[in-house]
Amino acid sequence: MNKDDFLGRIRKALHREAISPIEAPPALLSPLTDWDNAALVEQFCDELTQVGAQVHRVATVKEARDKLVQLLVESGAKSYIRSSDALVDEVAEAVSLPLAQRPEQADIGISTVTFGIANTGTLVLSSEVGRQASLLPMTYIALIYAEQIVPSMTEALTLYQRELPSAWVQATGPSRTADIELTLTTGVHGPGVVKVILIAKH
Amino acid sequence: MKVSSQNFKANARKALKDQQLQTALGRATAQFVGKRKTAVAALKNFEDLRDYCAVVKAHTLDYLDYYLEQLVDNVERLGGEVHFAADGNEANRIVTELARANNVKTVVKSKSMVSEEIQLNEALEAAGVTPLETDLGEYILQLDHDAPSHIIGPAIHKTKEQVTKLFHDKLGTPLDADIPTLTSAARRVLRDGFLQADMGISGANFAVAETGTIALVENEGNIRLTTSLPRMHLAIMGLEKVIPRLHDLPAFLAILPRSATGQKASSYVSLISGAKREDEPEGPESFHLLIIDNGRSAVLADPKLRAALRCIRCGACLNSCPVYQQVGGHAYGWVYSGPIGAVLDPGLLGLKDTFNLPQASSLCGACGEVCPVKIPLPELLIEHRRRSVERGLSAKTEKVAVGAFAFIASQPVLWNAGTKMGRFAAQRLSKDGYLTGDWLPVLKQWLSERDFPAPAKTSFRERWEELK
Repeated sequence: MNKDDFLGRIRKALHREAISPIEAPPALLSPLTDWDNAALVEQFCDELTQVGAQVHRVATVKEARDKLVQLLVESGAKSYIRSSDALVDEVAEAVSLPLAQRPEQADIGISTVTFGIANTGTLVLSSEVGRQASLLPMTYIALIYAEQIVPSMTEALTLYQRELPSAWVQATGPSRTADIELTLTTGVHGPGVVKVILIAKH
Repeated sequence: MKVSSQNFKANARKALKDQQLQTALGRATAQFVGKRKTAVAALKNFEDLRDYCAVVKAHTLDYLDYYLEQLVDNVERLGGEVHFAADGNEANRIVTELARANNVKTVVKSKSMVSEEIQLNEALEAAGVTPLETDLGEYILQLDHDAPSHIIGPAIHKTKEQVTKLFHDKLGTPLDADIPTLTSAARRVLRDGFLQADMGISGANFAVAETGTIALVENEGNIRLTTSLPRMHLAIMGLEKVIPRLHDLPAFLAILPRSATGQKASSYVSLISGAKREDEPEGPESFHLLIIDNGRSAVLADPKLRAALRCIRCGACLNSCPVYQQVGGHAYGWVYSGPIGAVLDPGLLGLKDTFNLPQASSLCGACGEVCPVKIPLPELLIEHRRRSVERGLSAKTEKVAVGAFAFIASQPVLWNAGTKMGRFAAQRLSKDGYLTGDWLPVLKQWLSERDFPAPAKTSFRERWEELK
């Protein structure tokens, strides 16, 4: 069926002809323009912990580098994959672990995020820097600056101000399922372990 | 899923006797109800959000042609291809043709109720394409040739023991495997499937007209894989999934997970806007959107039933329904079960095969109270009952009984004599304060599912005369 016939059926169901642009109901949630970043950081960390992610707070990029090396050593990972952007370049510089030959073989993925959403402990992941690092390996390490944290999804969408990437993913904690007897199990398809390195200063 | 709603009574009786099902159902619905209640109570503007989402959905349905056209234009602007299907057959033809033209051998699927509705897997198999369900619940059902029984937890009717046995037989996991072991076995098998698949087929929770974006909500990550790894992504949606603006999404994403699983936020929300862009490193090469009518425009044309198309498939009405809690999803005989199924299935399939579904309700109103988009479910159940009577679909005994009652109630002499006789007889038939009557054919059937208190010795009107 073509578009015109399909829309014609709908117009017939609505008992009328095509109409000109109409006004949608006024939006309920309007974005905040001002907030206390320090309070948001605390809220973000609390929510992340509640959904089962680990937060590692560091002061500078240099400390982030040390923290990343420490986390990789502790994990016993054999190889990793990463997103392609400046912050990961900077932080992953000190990593001696080899990159995985094929992305699906990696034990750990590292990427930056576009925003952190405080009220749900959510990481906004953008396909601009790739999709696989935060998705394929069992462990995912996210890098985020404190200033990237916003109160809610509404502010994240408002601040983005560009056409959305092909995939804008809001990730809240590890991959989980409760499909067998509603028993919560993590890591069913995506990462079962999520670690966030939160860098205080840009 | 083949329709067997006409067998509701037999299906329900079978379900009531199935001890494993009763255990699984009781556990699942109680847990869903409790978690929802806590999550909703913790959100102070829940009622405002609910009002807002109901208004936005109702508005979008009233101007559906306008918003759908806007959606289509924006998907095409982003390089996507949009397909339209009047019914299931046409939808299946479009998908299999798309697969054939692009040399697709295997398909990974994330959960899509509309694909169950049109029996897409059967059509794909017939066309030589292998579909793999990747939602853990749906995968279990596919392995067991079973059908989903709940919108959110498709396999909640299965116990762990049943899944363990199934995975032992099909995947070789040990018979004493625990749930994490079963889950990681599924992860391994399905990951291979993702890496080999040529096309990913997803559903759509919302489609944003303003931006051409498809929003997908999940916890497992299989939707992310489905929409990221294969070279093609096809999203399938019923025509009612549109919402006007990106800024409407946060409200819907606040009420959906809370109503469904009691979560503040689902693990993953994917906003998909077309295929991989030129400057992006990974993602599918092409994006297709298939918009399906399959009976929906008839529901849209019905001023009373139109509200049923607001449904965002959270499953809260199923969990809260005392009938669903007892009989489970399969008894309803189609994809949509519980109160929303009893309202929507007659709308989509016609009343003739489904008129038993709206009868299976105590009209307690719980479904209407929990619905996050305020679908007046109890009223719509009654509306279907009214139409069933009008069309002569209801039981003959009921018609005779109601006719007799109407006649007697309109004749004061008959009424007074009748109530006296009735009370006298009923007292003889009562035991321990409840009516019994196992030897009376009609009464026996009626009482088999109900407790009816014995009538008082004197009627209100008699007592009133004395008290005056």
